This record gives sequence, C-alpha cells and structure tokens, in this order.
Amino acid sequence: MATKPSARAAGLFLLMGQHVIERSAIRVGLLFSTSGPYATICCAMRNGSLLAIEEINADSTFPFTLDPLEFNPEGLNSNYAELARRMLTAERLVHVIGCYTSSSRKEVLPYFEKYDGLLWYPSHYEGFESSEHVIYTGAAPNQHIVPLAHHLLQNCGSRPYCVGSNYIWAWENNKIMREAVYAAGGTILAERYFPVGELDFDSVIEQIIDSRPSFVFNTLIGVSAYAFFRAFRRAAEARGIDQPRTMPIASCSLAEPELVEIGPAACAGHVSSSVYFESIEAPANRAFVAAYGRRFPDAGPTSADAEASYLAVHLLARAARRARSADPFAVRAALPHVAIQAPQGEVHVDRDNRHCYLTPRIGVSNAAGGFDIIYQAARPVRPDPYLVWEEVKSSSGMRSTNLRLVK
Amino acid sequence: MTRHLIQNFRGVNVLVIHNQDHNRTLLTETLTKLGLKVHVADPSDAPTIRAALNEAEIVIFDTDMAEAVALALTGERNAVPAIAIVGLEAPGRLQRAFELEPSAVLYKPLRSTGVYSALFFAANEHRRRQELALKMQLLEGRHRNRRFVTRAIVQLMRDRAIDDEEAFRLLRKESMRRRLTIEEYAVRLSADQGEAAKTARKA
Repeated sequence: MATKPSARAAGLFLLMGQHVIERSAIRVGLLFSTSGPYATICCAMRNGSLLAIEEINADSTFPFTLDPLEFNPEGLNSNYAELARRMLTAERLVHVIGCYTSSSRKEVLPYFEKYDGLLWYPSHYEGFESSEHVIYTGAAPNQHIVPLAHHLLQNCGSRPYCVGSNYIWAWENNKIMREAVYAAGGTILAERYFPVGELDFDSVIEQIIDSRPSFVFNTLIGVSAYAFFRAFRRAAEARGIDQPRTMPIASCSLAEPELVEIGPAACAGHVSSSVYFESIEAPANRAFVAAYGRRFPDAGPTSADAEASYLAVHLLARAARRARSADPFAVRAALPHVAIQAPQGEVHVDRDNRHCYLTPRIGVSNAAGGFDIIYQAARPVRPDPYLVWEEVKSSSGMRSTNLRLVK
Repeated sequence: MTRHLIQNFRGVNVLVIHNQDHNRTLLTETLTKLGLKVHVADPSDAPTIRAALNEAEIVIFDTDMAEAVALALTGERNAVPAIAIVGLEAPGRLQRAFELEPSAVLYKPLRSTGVYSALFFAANEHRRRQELALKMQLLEGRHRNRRFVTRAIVQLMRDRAIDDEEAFRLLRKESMRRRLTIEEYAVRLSADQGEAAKTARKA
C-alpha cells in the first residue's frame, strides 16, 4: 500500500531530520447532532473529541496539530448525507469523527467510499458491518450484549421481559438476547416495542409487574428510557416491591449522563453493560475524568460515548504520526501498529475488521448517579462484529441458532 | 430450461415500497428508463400499498422497514416477484426480509447499475419457483395415491393370474383410454371395489 502522502490529504506535514519545521495542521471534521433527539449523547461525543484534540495540540511529540471543523446535522438523516458530501468535497476533509445512529452512518458511508475518506465512528452499535472506510471505536455486539446476556442468565434467571424502542438497535439486541435465553432453556415472557419518543408505559408496566420476570431487558432509547425507568420504579414502590432486587432493569446502552436524566429517585440499581464507566479505577481514567471536568464543567459525568470519541482522536493522531502522513490509506495501514492506554484500559484496532479491542464490563448504578463495576473482562476482547467466533452455533446446520456465551 | 426468459419489462407495473429519499428517486428514474410503470408507497402507508398491489406485477421493498412492509403485504407475499433492497445487514433485518420471499436483492446506496439484473433475476426466478411449486404439488398428489396403484396391481395379478409387468401395462392402457393419470384411475378402481364390497355385504 502506498504511504506517499496523496495530494488530496488535507494535512501534510514534513519531518526533516530531527527538526520539525512547523507543526502543520491536519483538519478533522466533527459530525455530531448537538441538537435534536439524541443531542445529550452527541454533546458527550463532541466533548470527548475536542478534549483529545486539545491534548494532541498541547503535545509537541506530535509533528502536527489537529484543526476541528464542526457540523451539526441536528439528528436528521438527510442532513447527514448532505453534510458528509460537503465535508468531503468542498471542505476537502479526509478524517471525520461522527455519527451516532446506524441509519445516519449508512447515509454518510457512500460518500466516504466515493471520496476515500475515513469515518471514525465512536458508538457502540449492533454490528454486521465492516467498511474499509470506517474505524469503529465503540463496542461491537460481542463486547456489550453478549457479556450482558451471560451475566443476567447466570445471576438473575432466564425469564426476561423485553421492552424496546421500535428500531434496529432494539430488534437486533433482542434477537441476540432471545437466542441466549432459549439456549439456556429459558423463555421470553414478552417482547414489546414502542415508537421512539413514547412516554406512556403504564399498561406495559402493569403487565411486567404481574408477570414477575427474572429481569427486564431494556432497549428503549433517550427520553422513552428515562420515562420508563421512573414509572417502573414508582409502580413497584407503590406495590411494595423491591424492584432492583426482584426484577432489575438491564440495558446495554445506559450511561452516566442518562442516570442524571432519570433523576435521583429512580437512578439506582440498574444493570448496564459497557466498555467504559466513569468509576473505572485506573490512572488514565482518573486523568481523563479530571480533564473532562475541567474543560467542560457543565457537561456532567464522562461516559462510554465521550470515551469512544476521545480515543478515536488519539488513535487517529498516533496512526498519522506513525504514518508520517494524514493520507487515509497510510493512516489505515499504520493503525494496527498503534495502541493507546485509554481510560478503559489498553485499546488497539483489529487489522481485519477495523473495530477495537475493548474491555467489557457490567455495572450496577448507584444513588450517586454512577456505576459500581461488578464484572470486568480480564483483558481486552477481540471485536467480532458479525458474531462469527463466539455466538451463533449454526455454521453446520443452519437450523440451530443457539448461543454459546463467552466466559 | 429451453423456453424464453423474461427480459423486457416494458409496461410492467412495479411497486416501490420505500421512503422518499435519494435511493427512491434514483430507483424510480432507472425503472422508468427501463420502460416500467412505477408506483411508489411509503412502507408505513398500508392503504396505498394494498391499493397498488392490485396492479403490481413486481414489488421492490426496503428491508430496513421489513416489519411495516410485511404488515402491508399480509396474505399477498409471493404472489408476484419481489426484490429486497438491503440496507443494514443485521440478521434480524435479513430474516424479516427473507420471510417475504424475495427472488433478487439490491443494496443501498442504490446505483442505476444492478437494477436491470435484479428485475431479470426476480422475474425469472419467481417464475421458476412457481413452476417448481406447481410440479411439486402435482407430484405430491401422485405420490399420495401411489398405494392405490400398488393395490390395483396386486388385485389384477390375483384376479387374472398375470405378473406385475403385465398388470402395470394393463393399468396404464386403461388409464390412458380414460384420459386419467395412472394414480387417478387406480383410486377410482379402488373406490369401485369398495362400493362393490359394500353392496356385496349388504346383499
């Protein structure tokens, strides 16, 4: 693969002997919906990216600086497509950090393919993709839903009630949960979907409490999830039920800023699967949390989304430094050779699927709005976006789709 | 297969079930260039879909919205050739799409290249599936009635003191004379004998 910087690469820089002539700027696009329905999460992503960019710029071991150029698609898929085109053509950007939902990622992907850009995608997602033009820094399904299913089946029982927002994230995660539960000889009591933005859950909460599930598997997103958490806790308390103990709510996307949204009355006792919690006891994380708090004093706690965006920038900078070029092909070629000591632990990129080795954890939320970590993988887990290696036991028969869970 | 394959789609009514976006625009333009009469409907608009199905000879649908499409197509699946437009390749989406029995696939983002191939494969593969289904139905019927043929042969061998070859030849000749399949004739023979036995018992 050519490592010669292409003329199109936005940020060229030169090293002459030991002397850095000038720290030229690599322009980096940020594509986050800092307004719109999932603004809370995208603001955390933007913050994480900006913090990392400032760290790189303050570090003279990097022979370049990063120059962010921000765009806000406001949560509308049509805006994503249009802005991506503009960023890659008129603005001549090569590296863009952004997107949260899978549908928005699918909108921008054609432009990254057409113009040889690299999208640094900092969100956990449902997997089943590995584009040459995307670096995935969030968790793949084997790093979030699979460890969660394993934990729940071992510790809570095998009769879940599934509640979710009616879209891809919920459908796919429920499918994996269903297979895990059936493989364990359990049953799904019900699988209910609600429109994104739904706030009235009274009747389903009645049904859940009456059916006494082992746990509630929640794939509701945003305001729907917060409303559900509050109403469920209220209904259980009214009946004198210790909800976190008897039928905990488990999610694979619940993060600290969302506990703030749920509010102090109902934020404790929820199970969440994530590669990052603010409470991780590691020097790199303590430094990250402190720096984030200093830089964004009003932004609240750090989260997996902020961390994934933060490490996207650090991976990009290290790969560009190693490649001595911002050229997308050179950066991609250099990427498997860089590793970072991230807030969550060591992170590096898988050379085959361009997802990251990340460390799965299970946390239980507490009244202070944080998570107590009750499980942590011994080492970073290889990303498996197609669940090829550890999940579906159907390679021979195509009949059985039993899950084999990771230890 | 020696007969002609479908390769001209002039005047064919096609229903595109997809939300309005650049994919749908491109698909509509390409299908129009290929001479088809294009009808469009949003996946969530079940009444429009059902109305358009009366005319549609080919259906093209968005697998990302397969739930809505499945709901709108209730009872209609497999009646006409279907083409699935795959977006997210997650197995849940593919499973739902598969249940609608598409006979060709397109991928998002759509390009004009590939649309004609998808029409070609969808139309011809769907016809082949229908022919196979028909053939299977026929063979299943004959298979079910095979025991009557066996019974008729045994009966003939006993009544006329002939061997099985001779009995089969006789059976085939008689069924051809009556323009029946050998199975249909054997079923009738069996029914006649049943009747005769009943009459004999009554007497």
